[in-house]
Formats: sequence, C-alpha cells, structure tokens
Amino acid sequence: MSGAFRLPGGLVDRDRPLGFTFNGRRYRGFAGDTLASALLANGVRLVGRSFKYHRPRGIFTAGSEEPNALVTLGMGRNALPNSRATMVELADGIAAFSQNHLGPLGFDPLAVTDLLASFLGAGFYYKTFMWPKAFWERLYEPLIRKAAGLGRLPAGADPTLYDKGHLHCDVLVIGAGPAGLAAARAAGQAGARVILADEGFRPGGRLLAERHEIDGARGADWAAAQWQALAAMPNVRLMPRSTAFGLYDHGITGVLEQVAPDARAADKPAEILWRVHTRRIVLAAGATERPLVFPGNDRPGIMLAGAVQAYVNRWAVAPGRRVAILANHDGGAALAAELEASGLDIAAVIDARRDPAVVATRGRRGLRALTLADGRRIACDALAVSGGWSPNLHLAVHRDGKPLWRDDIQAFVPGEVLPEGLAVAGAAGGSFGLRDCLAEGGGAGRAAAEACGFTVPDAPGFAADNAQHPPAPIWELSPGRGRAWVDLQNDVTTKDIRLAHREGFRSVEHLKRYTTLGMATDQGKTGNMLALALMAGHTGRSIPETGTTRYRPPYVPISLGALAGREGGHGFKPVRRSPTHDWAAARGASFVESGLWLRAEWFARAGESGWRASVDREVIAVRAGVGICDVSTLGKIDIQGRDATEFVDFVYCNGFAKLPVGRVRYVLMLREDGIVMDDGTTARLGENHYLMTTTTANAGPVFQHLEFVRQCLRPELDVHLVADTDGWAQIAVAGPKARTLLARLVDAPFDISDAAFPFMACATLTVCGGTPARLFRISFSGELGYELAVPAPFGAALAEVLMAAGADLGVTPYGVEALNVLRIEKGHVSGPELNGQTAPKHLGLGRMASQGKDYIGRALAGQTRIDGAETARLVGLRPTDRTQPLSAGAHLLEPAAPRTQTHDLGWISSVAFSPTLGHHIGLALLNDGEARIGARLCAVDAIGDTEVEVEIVPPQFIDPEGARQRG
Amino acid sequence: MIIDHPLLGPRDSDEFTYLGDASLLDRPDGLGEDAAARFAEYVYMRDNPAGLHRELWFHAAGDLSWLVVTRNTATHEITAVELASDVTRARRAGK
Amino acid sequence: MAEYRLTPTPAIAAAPVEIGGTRLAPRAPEAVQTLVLRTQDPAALAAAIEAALGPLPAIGQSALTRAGAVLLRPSRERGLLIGRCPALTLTPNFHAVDQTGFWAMIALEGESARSVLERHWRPDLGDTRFPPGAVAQSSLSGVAVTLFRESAQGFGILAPRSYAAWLFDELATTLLWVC
Repeated sequence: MSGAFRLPGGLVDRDRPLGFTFNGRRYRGFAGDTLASALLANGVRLVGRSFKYHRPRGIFTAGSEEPNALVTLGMGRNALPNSRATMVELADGIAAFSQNHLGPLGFDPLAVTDLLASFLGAGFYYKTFMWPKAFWERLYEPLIRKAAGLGRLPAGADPTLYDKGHLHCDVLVIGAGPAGLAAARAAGQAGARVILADEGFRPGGRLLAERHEIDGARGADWAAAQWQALAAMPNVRLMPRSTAFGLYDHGITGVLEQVAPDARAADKPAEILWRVHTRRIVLAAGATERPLVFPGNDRPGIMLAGAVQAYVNRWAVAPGRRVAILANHDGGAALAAELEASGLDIAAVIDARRDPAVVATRGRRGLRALTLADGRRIACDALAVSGGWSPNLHLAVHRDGKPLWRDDIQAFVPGEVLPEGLAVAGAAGGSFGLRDCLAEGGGAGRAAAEACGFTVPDAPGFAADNAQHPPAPIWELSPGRGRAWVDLQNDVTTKDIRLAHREGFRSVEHLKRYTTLGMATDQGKTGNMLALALMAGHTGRSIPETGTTRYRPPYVPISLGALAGREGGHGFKPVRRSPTHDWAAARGASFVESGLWLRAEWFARAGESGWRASVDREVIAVRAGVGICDVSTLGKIDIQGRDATEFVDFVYCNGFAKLPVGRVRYVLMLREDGIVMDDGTTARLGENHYLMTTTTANAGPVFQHLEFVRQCLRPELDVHLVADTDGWAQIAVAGPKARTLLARLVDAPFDISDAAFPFMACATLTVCGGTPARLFRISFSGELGYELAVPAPFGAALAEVLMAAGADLGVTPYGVEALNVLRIEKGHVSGPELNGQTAPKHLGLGRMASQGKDYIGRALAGQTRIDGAETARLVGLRPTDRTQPLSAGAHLLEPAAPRTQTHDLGWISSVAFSPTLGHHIGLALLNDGEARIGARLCAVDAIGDTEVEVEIVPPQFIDPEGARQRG
Repeated sequence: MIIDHPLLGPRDSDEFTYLGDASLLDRPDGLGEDAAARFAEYVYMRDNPAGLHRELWFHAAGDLSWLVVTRNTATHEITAVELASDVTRARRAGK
Repeated sequence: MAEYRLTPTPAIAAAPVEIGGTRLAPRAPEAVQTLVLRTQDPAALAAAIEAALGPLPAIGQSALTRAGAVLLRPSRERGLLIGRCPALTLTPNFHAVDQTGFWAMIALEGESARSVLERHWRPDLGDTRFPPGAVAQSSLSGVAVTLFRESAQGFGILAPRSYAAWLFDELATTLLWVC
C-alpha cells in the first residue's frame, strides 16, 4: 500500500511499485506517479519553505507551473537543486530533499523573517541595510546572501552528460492534449513529416486529469490510442518529456528532451537540446490555471482546483480528507460532484461570485480551517481554488506581438499577428470546450499539411462534450483583511503591489522588477495575471490597457549544461593534428594549442632542467648542424587558371608578373586599409599555377578573403582556388648541413646543388624512391633552409627517414619555441608584429609594395595612421646589461621621461633568450626607429613593475648580409 | 536564422561567416586620382539601417560561395538571397 | 648510400566501432581528386566531363563513372572523384587536384546511422531533401565535411585529414549514446 491517501483507480501502474526517500524518510509510490503525487499519497504536505519569509509551503499545482514544491534531487556532485516535484517522474531510488530551511523542515529558525515582514517588503534592499555603509559588504550582504536563494549549488563539476541535435519536419505540433493529438493525426495522415512534442511522460494533457469521453472512449484511453496510431506512422516522430521552450527566427524552435528514467545511464546524456527546423507549427500548449487572491492563501493544502482534479483522477491521490472548493465560476460545483464520486468528503463549495468570501485561513504547517465573511469557520485540510485559466500563448509571442484580451474568458490570447507559419489550437488560443479543441486541432493540422503541399484526406470530427466555465472578473477576495500572496515563489503579496503603485512603479514592467514578481523559476505562471489585474485596479485602467510583461524564452528553466551540450572536454572544439603528431609525441614533444591545432613546442630530453634548456639546445643544433621542424599547419592554397598571375598580383602588394616558374617570393597581403593582413611565401609551380602559403592562424580568413576577391571583385578572371593545408605534410630542414641531409633523400635526376637550386627556388620532384614531393628553398631561421612537402599520409614516415638519414649529422627535431627564437634572431616579423596595426613601411618592408599596379590596400597604404605611432619602425634591441631579461609588451621611453602615455615611444613585440648570442634580444615597433639606432632607452613593464635599459639596434641579430641562407 | 541558398536550399546561418554591407562590392579604382578619398569612404563609411540591409555572407562550412542577402535588420526576415558573383556580373553588364 | 622508402600512415588509427547493428569505420579510398569545374559554359563542361569520366551529376547529386569511380558534386564548382580512374589532363572546362592525402573518409552504416548524424549535422537528412545518392557540404560539429548518402542506411563522410581522428572519436561517442 503506497500511502494512506491513495484512492482506487487512476492511471498509475500498481504492478510496478517504486521506493524513494524524502528528507531521508522512505516512502513508496508507483510507476506513473510524479514525486509530488507520491508525496501526497503518503500524506506529505509540507515540502519546502518560501523564499523570503520561510513560510511552510505545500504542493500547489500538478504541472510545470509549480511555484512551491522545489526540491533537490540526489546528493553531492549529483545534486539537482530547484527540481519541481510535480515534473519529476518517479523512479526507483530517487532521493529528494526540501530546500531553503535551516535545520529540519518542520522547524526553520529562519522563519523569524516572517515576523520581520514589514521590513522586508518589495524593494526593501533599496531602503534598508544602508547604514553604516561599511556594514553592507561585511555583514548585511553575506547575511542576506545566506538567507536568500532556494536550492544550493553542488560543488564540483557536473557529472551529467548532455547532448544537442538538429531535427527537420514539415509540421511541429507542440502539446499532446486533445488539440495537439488531433492536429498530429491530421497532418500525419496527410503524409507530412510531423514531430509531436509534449512536456509530460504520458500523452493526453488535461484529458488525464478530467473526466471526458471522446467517441465513447475514456479521455485517457482515447489519447493513448491516438498516440499508438501516431507511433505506427513512419513519418511521425513522437517526443514525450520534451518541452518546446522557445520560438526563434525562421521557424526554428528549441525543444529540450529529458531522457526517460529507465533509459538513463551515467555514461549517456540525460538531456538533449534540439533545434527543430520546421515549416509549420501548431501551438496546442493548453492553458494554466490561476488561483484567487485571499488572506492566508499560501498554506500547505491550498491548491489549484485543476491540480486537485488531476491528483484524484490521474494519480488516484486524495489531497486531503476534507476538501473545500473556491471558484469564480460554476466549475466548482461540477468538481465537487466528481470528488464526491471518488469518495472524498466535501467541506464546502464557495462560489466567489455570490457566497461570503474567505477572510482567513488557519493551520501553519497545513491547512486546518477557513473563516468566511459571515463568521462561519469551515474545517478542511485541502482547498481547491480556481480563478479561471490563462492560455499558454508564450511561444506565439516570443518573437514579437502583443497578446489580445478577451473579456468573455477573462484571459489573454495570442494576438492577431502571429509568427509566420504558426497556428494556435485549443486552450492555448482560448477555446476551453473539448469538442472545440478537437476540431481546432484537426483543422490546424490539416491546414499546416496543406500549406506544405500535402493533400489531406477527409476525416470525421470527434464527438465530445463542450462544457466550459467562463470566470467572472473577480481576482481578489477580502482585500485588507490579512496578508495575501500573489507570487508564491518570490513571496510577493498584495501589499507589495500597493506599495509599488504608491511609489510610482505602475507599468507592468516596473511592477515586475520592483517587486520581483514573476521573476522566480516559475516565471509567474500562476501569479502574473493576478498581479496585473490588481495593478489595473489601483491605476483605474483596464486589464488590456495595463498589458502584460514581455514574454521571452525559455518557457521553463533550461539547465546550462543542456545549452552547452557536449561542448566541454573532448567536445569543446575540434582538435587538429599534423601528420607528424604521433611521431613527435613518441619523441617526447610537449604540445601547445595554436588555434585548433596542436603543435610541438619543444622535444625535451632526459636530464634537461626545463623548457629553456630544451629550446636553447634545439636552437644551437640548428645553427651548428641541421634541425627538422613540422610546418604542416601553415595554410596552403592551390591557385590555378589562365588569370592566376593577374589574381596573385592583385591580392599581394608585391609585383608578381616577373616571377619565373620555379621561384618563391616572400609576400605581404594587405587589408584594404593598407594594414598587413598576413605574410607568407608564394611559389610559382607553373605558368598558371601558384601555391600560396599563409600563417597557421590566417589560413581560413585568407582563403575567405581570396574567394571574396575572386567571386565579388574580379569574377571575370579565370582563376580557381583549392584549400590544400591538410593535404601535405611539410617539414622545414634548416642548418648548415641541411643540403647534405636532403641530398640523401631526393631521387635522381634532381640536382639540389646551390647552382641548380638557389635561394628562393621551388620544384616538383620525387623522394625516397618515388614519393611525389615539393621542395622549397626558403628560410625562416636565417640558416641554409628548405621546406620539403610530401602528401600528408607520408609525413610521419618522412620524419622518421630524416632522423635516420641524418643521424650522423646530429639531426635534431625542433618545435615552435625554437622556431620562434631563430626567427627573432634573424629579425623576421611574425604574428606579434603583424598585429593589425602595422603597414609594410612600419616593418621595414615598404620596398615590397609595388608602385605600378592596383592591389588590395594600395590606396590607403600611406594614409592609415595609428595616433602617436605614425613613424613606428621595426627595430631590434638588447639589454645594456646583458644579464637582464626583457619583457614582451614593455613600452619604450626616454630614460628621463615621465612614465606616461604621452612619452610612450613604442613597445616591444617579440622577446627571446638567444643561445647564439648568450643574452636576451627583442624586436620592437619604435617611433622614428631607424633614426634611433644606437640610442639607449628604457623598456618599462608597468604590469611586472620592472624597468630595463636597452640599446636600439638593427633587427637582424645574426648574419645581416644573409650569406648563410644563400650559401 | 535560415539562409535559402540559391543552389543548395535552406541552410542554417551558422554555416556562414558574415562580412558586412554589400557596398563592399563597389570597390573604387585603386589607380584613380581621388583614390584615397574614395577608398576612405569605401572602407570606413556605412549606413546603419533599421530595416532592409543588403549584406555579404560567405558559406564557409559549405560550398565556399559568397552570397548577397537582403535582410530586415529589425525582424530578420530575409527577402532575397543571390550569388554575389551573379550580382557583380549583372552590375558590370548593366553599366 | 642508403635506400629509403616512405610508407603511408592511415588518417585514423582508431578501430571500427559497431553497436546494435550500426557500424562506424574508417575507410581508405585508393584516390580522391578534387575537380574544379568552370561553369561559364555548362554545356561544354558537361560534355568535357562526359568525355573524360561519365555523366556530370546535378548539384547535390552523385554518379558512377565509366571506370567505376564515384563522382560527387556537392556544389556548382566542385566535384569529388573517389576511386582510381584514368589520369585527367587539364581541360579548358575543368582541372583536377589530387587530394588523396587531404581527405580522410569515415563510413557510417546501419539503422541508427541517421540518429547519429542528426546530433552533429545541421541540414535536413530526410529522404526528400537527402535521398540515397545525395551529397552535401556542411559542418559536423564544427568541421567542414562532405556527406554522401550511399544507400538508405549508409553514409560516407569526407573530412580534412587533420580533423579526422577527433571527428571519429566524437561520432563513436554519439554511436554509444544513441544505441
């Protein structure tokens, strides 16, 4: 037996009992229960403490609009705070805990705040806790923070897995109540691709809570039969436990799917966030009931009438032994008859339109009695309250659009202008009769399928009753007779609304933010309508004139984990590995992230004291012998076509027309404002065939830019681009012994001598007995240098062969750190100098810009200025005291100048310890740099709070004549 | 947002990178006499309409085509999508 | 003088994964060439392709060449030729770039293949918009790939080699999660 309040019947599966705990105590329920229904079945009515006043609270609703029954599920890292007990599908072993109390739920010392209520009204934090000023940060704020909030966040990383996905359909039906099921059937039978999403785990919506017959079948059975028929249609996708939470541009709808409890596993996602791309939407999201406002209306046991109906009919649970009913419409009497038939005792049926109103309630930890205006006291332990129903129009107004007020149902409905492709059916549109809902749903489904080009077979309508209970415009009973709650979750009372009005916060948007009503996790679903009706009363305006606050996604709270999906850890971003990655890892390389790529930084050897030791060794090995470095990550773009030369000439500032086949040029690509975008080398492999390289980071942006030129500026040119970065493994071979090493790999008859293959030459050849390859004689390090490219699958083998063939030469693998030291020693610009502020002339490369042709960046090349840095020029520098280190980013000032921005002469862009020279060196952009060669300045690092005296020198620290690379 | 590619059908806007105003198609003559002034206009000056905007999108994750999209910046309604190369060619032919 | 030979390394080292009748496996086609198509004269282009290979598919479609290779046409200006075929000479209407090393290939086959793909792939995978024989370029979790539907339940994914190992891991995770 699962509880003293369990009734016979209902839609729970008594063959599947389940065990769970609440605050450590064991209880039993059945499959088909929610945590809320199971708690009520066991007579547990106190489930939490309210936000501000720590008042005892009970379960208020039976759905996603629940404001009170927020529990924490699970413990430790797995704890999930603020879970609505009404939406938790009961599963075996669930451990739930109440929230927001110090000590046991039954006795919460923080309830003292209830006694201080007069000091804690709306906006209290703007008026109190202000003096003394210092106490705010040290005392008041920490105290309030401790007392405030609902659930507690678990410490540690979230162990839950989440995923995301994309779905496409013709018709998305939101809600599987009668209107939604009819819509899905109609559209599905027409052959349209249909997705039917419902937030519950059982189809039927209000049919599960109310007693209806459709075509002679019980409502819940009819719903189950429709669902089964839909499941058998291959063009229909059913999504239970899936909430459509937002409508976005162009028909894109966000749907959050919860995985069923019996399908959950620790190593599989618990939630999936779907982007649904659909052509038509039928919004059949139903309506949410609102209560009435009266003194003492927040006690455990006071519930929405529709919820009482749901607990009795669907879950076979009596919410109390003696139930009173209060409504502003004639549905109260009908409900009383239903409850009596289920065996409940009816204490009273109060019609708010005629009968003496409720003036007080009693029972702190659970309702015990009501007092009426005529003095009668009614003993009861449950009160079913109904103030009418508000259509769930949210998704219809997420994009824009104002809701429309209907006097006949005292509710807002979707406005006349709906988002394109969206239709509303059933209670979501203000139709509350079952027959009307079924007809509207079927009609909307047909229309949607037809709009998508499907022919819909004729179908008969459904036979059902059309009973409705339009409410009277009564919102509040017995004003001024005692505290009455409007927003239960944020503890906002009628007094707060009066206060907001008095203090001038009269628009609904101000009312919301000043009182915080509607800003809790329930988003005011059961309170907003009452609040704006009360404010309308105070201002004397009508309800439509008062209007609603803006509706925004998400319709229900969405966990941040679901929004992230699997984009954490391995899934955070793609990882790109070069062809020699595994080879480098096996040789002890450590890797650095370079955008999406992993690049070897250095290859540490046993016994080395740290990274500097490895890098210094690698630099020395290259300058003394030969080193190999993977440069596969640099962008490669294959350019072919009759107009390839003209194209290349247009995108670079360098002249290209006279570059012979078999030669490479170092090139600068400018932005249209004259600033350098990227540098690289471009090789002419054939008459109409170029291979362009870019820096690693700019491979994508440069390709995009080239296609812009090709398609948008010069579509008349015959030129075509193929991105080929991943297709080649490219290894730099640098050092005085580089030629000796490569000679051992190249196949005859290729002549690698200096005469046949001089500096800046390129060739297509084969290596290692027939593997196709490309060889470029270029140098980033300033040593005799080559880059050898083979198709990517051969990259790892090539690295091995180079190491084997060069063993007697002391060949050394080097990583990007050593690569960087070498290029700084040579005075070669790289990323830090190409920072989006430098034009060719600043880098000392002004002579590269051709005068005779139009090219991207020509017109503004001389014009674009950075204030205070017009005369910046690339220089080198070294500390006058050679033992001192330098900081990249330090600013250069005259030694005697005040350390202010007006005296700033430039900044250090690149720094390295040079093992070749034995001291630190740097490159800098310095105003009038060329004229300042020989001067002594101060390098001021304001962040590290150091100053170092430096000598300005030309940027080439080794071999300024270039003899080594041309040898 | 969904961009209806003229050759490939509807695609999610996340497949594209956005460049900006389609006025970038009208590149002035770099060798002209007043090139500096005209390029300053071309590079730096933009209208900022609340309403219809013609703009350039690059199908980076797709077919690498450039598109000219006419989009209402206030409502995101897209009223036209054309291949940029077609737009440029048509303009030149019209000249 | 030592004789050195270079042996190729596969793009994906991971072993195939099969769960519940759906299989994810690396594939190594003999050759992959990117065809750059010049479309100013569509009739001439179609004739040139027909002469060299076989029928030119429409945009988003595929075809078999006379030599038994698969010709994919994901976009107006691009073809992907998968499989060994006669050497292609430069013609005024198209040229070929050997990208055998560039493309890694992954095969995904079985009743859950689409369920796996819909976690990563944004465009429509439905039978009307993406029937067997269709091909499209889009993003699989941030990687620009070419997706080819070989059969009702069989898909081929062509991804740039540097991303392939990561992508295979991600798809394997999804296969585990979906099945």
